[in-house]
Amino acid sequence: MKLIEVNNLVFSYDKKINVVDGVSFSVESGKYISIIGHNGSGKSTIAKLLIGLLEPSKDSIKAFGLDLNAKNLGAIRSRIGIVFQNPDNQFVGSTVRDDIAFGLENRRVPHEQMDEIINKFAEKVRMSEFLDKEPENLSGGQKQRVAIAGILAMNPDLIIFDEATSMLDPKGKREVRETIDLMRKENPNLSIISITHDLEEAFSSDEVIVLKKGKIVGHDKPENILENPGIFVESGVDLPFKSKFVNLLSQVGIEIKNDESLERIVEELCQ
Amino acid sequence: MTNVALGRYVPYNSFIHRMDARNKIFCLIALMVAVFISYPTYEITFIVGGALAVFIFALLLISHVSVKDIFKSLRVLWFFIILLLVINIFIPPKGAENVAFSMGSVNVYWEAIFQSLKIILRLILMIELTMILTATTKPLDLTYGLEWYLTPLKLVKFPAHEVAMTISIALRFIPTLLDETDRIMKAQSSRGVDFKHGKLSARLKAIVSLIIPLFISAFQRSEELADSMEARGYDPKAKRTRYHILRFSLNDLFSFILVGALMSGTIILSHYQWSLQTTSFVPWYSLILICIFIYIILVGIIDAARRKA
Repeated sequence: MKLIEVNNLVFSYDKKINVVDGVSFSVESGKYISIIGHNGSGKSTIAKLLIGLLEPSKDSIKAFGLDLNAKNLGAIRSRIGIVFQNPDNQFVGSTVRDDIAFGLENRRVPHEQMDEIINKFAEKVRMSEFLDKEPENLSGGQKQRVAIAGILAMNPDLIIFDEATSMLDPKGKREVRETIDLMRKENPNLSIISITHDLEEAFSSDEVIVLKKGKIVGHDKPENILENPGIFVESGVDLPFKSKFVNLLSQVGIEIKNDESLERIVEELCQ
Repeated sequence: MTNVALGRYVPYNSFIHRMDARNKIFCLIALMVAVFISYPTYEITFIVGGALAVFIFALLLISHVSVKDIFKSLRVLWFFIILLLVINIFIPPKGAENVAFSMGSVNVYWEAIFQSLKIILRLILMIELTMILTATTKPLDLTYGLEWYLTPLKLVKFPAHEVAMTISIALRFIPTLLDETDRIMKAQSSRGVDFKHGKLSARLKAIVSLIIPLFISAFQRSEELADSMEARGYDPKAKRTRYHILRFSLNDLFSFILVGALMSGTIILSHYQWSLQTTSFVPWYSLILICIFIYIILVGIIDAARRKA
C-alpha cells in the first residue's frame, strides 16, 4: 500500500531558485527509505513539505489517500511523526515524562491513560530510568530517543528522521540506530524516511534516493546505487569508507565483493 | 552560573512540597499581606513581625532550604539595608521626636531606626517567602497554578493557556541557554575577547560579541521548536487534555484555613483601636482581599464543575 505519493514536487523559498525541483517518489507501507544529498540539496525542505510545515504546490503530495492541504493537515500530521536534527530544540517538556506527554495532550488522550502509554514507550526506547530527568541532564542520544518515544506514543504510520543522528557522538548514533532497528522489528508496517549525511546508515535501508540541487539523480536499492559511484561524485556526497576502499582495491586488481563486512575484507586481504 | 540560590527548586518530599501549587500561591499572597500590613505602634509591629519571622523560618526548615542558601539570598539585601538606614537617618520620618543619639549636628531619632528596621524586616521576610514558594514548587506546577488563576480571564480573551505555555517553555530553556552562553563565551575568549578585564567600555564591547550570537541562536532554536511542536500536533486554540493535574488535598485545606486565619488575625490587629472603640472603617485592601477570596472560591467551583462534566 502506498502511504505517500509525491508527484512532481516543486518548491521555492524566494520564487527564484527551486530548492525542490520536480521530485517524485512514493513510500510504501513498511519501507525504509533514505534520502541523501549534499548540503543545500533540498533534503530537509522535502521533510518539512511532507509534514506540512511548508506548503507544497497543489496535488503534488498525497498522503494516506488525502491531498496535503490546510484542510487535511491535522489528519495527515496525526499519522506522520518527525524527529529533527537538534536534540535540544525539540524537547518541549521540562522532564522526559512531560515531553512524551506533550504529544498525547495534543492528541487529547485522557489523563488516566497517559501514564501507562508514557511508561510503555519509555521502556521501548530504553529510557525508563530517566523518566523524571530534565533535558540538561541527558545526552544527545538520550534526548533523540525521548523524541522517538514521544512520536511512537502517537502511533504514527510513518516517521521521518531529518538528520536525527548528525549532531550525536558515535555512541548516541549507535543508540538511535539500534532504537530504529528495534521499532522496525516490532512494527513491520512502520515506514521510515531517513534524511541523512551518513552513508553507512543510508545503505542499511530498503531504498536510497540521491538528491542534487533539488532533483533526484538516483533512486534505487542501495546495492545498485553503490555499483554506480558516478552518482555520488555528481551529487557531491562522499562514499562510505568501505566502498571507497573496495573501489580502490579493484583498481589495483583485487576484486572483493562490496557487501562483505570490513573484518572479512581485512581477513581476505591478509591471506 | 548554576549556583543562583534565589528561585531554585529544591527537590524533597516535604509537607510544603506536596501542597497544591494554587494553594501555595494563595498562601504566599496571604502571608505577604500579613508581613506588609502596618500596625498602630512599633511594639505591635515588632512583636507580630518577630512571630512571623519565626513562623517563616520554621517553614524554611520544613521545606529543606539549606541555611547557606538563605544567607546567599539575603546577600542582595545589604545594599538596600545601608541605603535605607542612611535615608532614614538624614530624612527622619514625620513626627520623630525621640532622639537616640547625636552625630555632630545630625540627630538620630529612635523613630528613624525603627522605621528602617521595620522595612528591613519586611524585605527579608518577603524574600524568604518567595524562596519557600520557588524552592518547594516545580516551575511547571507553578505555571499551572498561575494558569488556573488566569483561566477566568479567558472570558475577556486573555490567552491564559498561551501565557502559561510560554512561561513553561522559557523555564525549560533557561539551562539550555546558559549552556549556550558558556559555550559562546569560551569560543569568543579563544578568539581573544576578554570578558573579565579592561575598561567598562571594552567589556561592554566584549559583551556585544556574546549577546549577538546568543540571540541569533535563540531565534533559530525557537523556530525549530515551533516546527517541532506544530509537527507534534500542537494547536494553542484547540482543546488539549492535561498530563499534570493539580490536586487540592486535605493538607491544602488545613494550610489554607491556617494561613487565611493568620492573615485575618493580622488585619484585625492592625485596625483594632486600642482605646477600645470599634473599628472605624473598612480599609480598601480588606475589600480587595474579600474580592480575591470570592474569586478563588468561584474559580474553584467552576473548575470542579468542568472536571465533572
